[in-house]
Amino acid sequence: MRILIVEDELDLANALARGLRQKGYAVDIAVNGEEGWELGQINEYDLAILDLNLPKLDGMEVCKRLRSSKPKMLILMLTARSRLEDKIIGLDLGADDYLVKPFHFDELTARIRALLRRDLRAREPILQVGDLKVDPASRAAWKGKRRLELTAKEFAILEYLMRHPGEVVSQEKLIEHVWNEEVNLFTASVRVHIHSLRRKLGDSVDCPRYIETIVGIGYRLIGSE
Amino acid sequence: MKHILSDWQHRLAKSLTLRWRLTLWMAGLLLALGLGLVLFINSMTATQIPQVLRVDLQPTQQPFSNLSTVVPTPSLETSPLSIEIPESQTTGVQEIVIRQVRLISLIGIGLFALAGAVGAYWIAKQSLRPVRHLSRLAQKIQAQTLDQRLPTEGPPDEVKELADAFNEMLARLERAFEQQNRFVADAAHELRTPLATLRTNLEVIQRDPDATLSDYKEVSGVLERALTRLEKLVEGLLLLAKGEREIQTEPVEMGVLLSEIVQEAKILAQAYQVEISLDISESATVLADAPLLARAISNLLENGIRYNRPGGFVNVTVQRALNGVEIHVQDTGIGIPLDTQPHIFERFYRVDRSRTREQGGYGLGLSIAAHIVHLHGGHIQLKSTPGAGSIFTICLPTAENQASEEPQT
Repeated sequence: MRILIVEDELDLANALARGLRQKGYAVDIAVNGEEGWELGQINEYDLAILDLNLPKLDGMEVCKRLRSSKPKMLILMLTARSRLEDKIIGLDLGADDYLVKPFHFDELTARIRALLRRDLRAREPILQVGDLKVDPASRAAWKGKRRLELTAKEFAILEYLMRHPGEVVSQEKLIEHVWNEEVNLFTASVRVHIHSLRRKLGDSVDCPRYIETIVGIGYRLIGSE
Repeated sequence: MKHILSDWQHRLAKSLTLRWRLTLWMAGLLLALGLGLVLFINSMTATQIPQVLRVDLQPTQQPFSNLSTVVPTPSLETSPLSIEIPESQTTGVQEIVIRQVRLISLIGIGLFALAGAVGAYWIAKQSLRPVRHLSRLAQKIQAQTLDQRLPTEGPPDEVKELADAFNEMLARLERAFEQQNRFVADAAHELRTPLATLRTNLEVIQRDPDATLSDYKEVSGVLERALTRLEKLVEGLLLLAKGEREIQTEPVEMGVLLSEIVQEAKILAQAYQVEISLDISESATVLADAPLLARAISNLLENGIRYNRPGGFVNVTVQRALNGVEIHVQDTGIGIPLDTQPHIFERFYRVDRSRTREQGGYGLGLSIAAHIVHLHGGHIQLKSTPGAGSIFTICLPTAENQASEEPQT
């Protein structure tokens, strides 16, 4: 899952990014409203954490624009503005959640998980497809009863595929949602991670049980049905 | 005697409503006027009746029987006076007439005063009704409902005047409350951001099992920055909450104070490659809280240095002016846009947020300077040309002017 942090307090933004990366998210930082709006347009973020008092472009305006150009992107407003009016305006402008500073980091991550669950295909806190299970909160994955030892990237790829079971997910899509801006990635490295993920799942390319390769397009997680 | 009376009046005034007081005053007035009238009529009667009687009676001495019908007194047997002294009969009649008139008029006064009091009570009720209405409405107004106003329709009388005055007061209160609320909200907002930075940094590093010593060192640097910012904010807020009574003034020679401030500011000026100069043409002594006033002036200086261009200058001059002294702080900085000039002294107001943040400002410096100058009975002015620079002028009353205006205790 890829997250955009739009926050002009660099000390706060860096800590947030660090904490979220530890949780396996791909994170980018924008330090003003304009940059936030630009990054939000260029990249495919699943969620944006948006401060309101931003230089160059106000957070509310960023929210409005992102909402109209990226209707699927989840927006969490993280701001020091605690007045009821601000919360109402923010939520009415299209924010999906509103958290007032100072906040607990665990609450923020719980809210992020809750927001990502809103995607109708994944309303359960624990994702399950066939005998595969993934818990985004504890970053754990199971095949049947056996716990899988996955790297952060492998986990992120599996999680993304599990959120879109049966769908063909392109390599570009995986790059957009699993890696952040700093990594200049080629599709070859996606293949490497998919390969090691398959190995850990005990899957084979020729007769796939879990991850199917759609040549020239991408990958598909085979659903239970 | 006078003292006792006023005391009594005071106590009465306390226990009685305005309506009752008006009634009593009216009744008293009617009574006094009535008494005066009676006295006047009586004295007139006393002087006029004998003449009338004399004119009528004396030439013929006959109409005694007529008189007895005029005077509503009993028969001759019950008034032996008239029989025994026939020559003084006119006097007797006169007295009887006067006594009767007196009695009737006294009763009349009593009755009319009573009627007057009842009428006055009613009139007072009628005329005080709008006042009652106003007070009932005013009672309902609370801090949360300061946007309400009293109705001011009706004739332009004293009651309308009162309602207008009350509404103006409400408007002022509302503005003051709004300002206060906005200030508190702004202050809370400014405090929340460094608090969020503190908490997030701590929580993230604590939850990271692979955190190294250098990670911790980095976080401790961040925490220190956030703490410094919190401290500065709290100090600024406390300064802004300072009242006039809390400053301790002493005679301060402006030249000496300014030399110290400029000397301190030179370090910052060097860092920003800005030339700073001081020009004291005249000596002036003001009654001031020296550290506070120094804070105000150095805030202006810092402002001039931070928003300057490399190679620019900040010039400080002192000038005697009418009733006081003027301190000019002139810079060759970026200037302040015209539309934002009126707000520049407002708390937490920032012309350019990102720029201020980079420069380490919190939007309090100028409002603190203005507040301190106001505490000293002075005022602060701004002349700015965008792109060319700004001149801030502090006007302060000098010690002799201040002393003559309000003797220091």
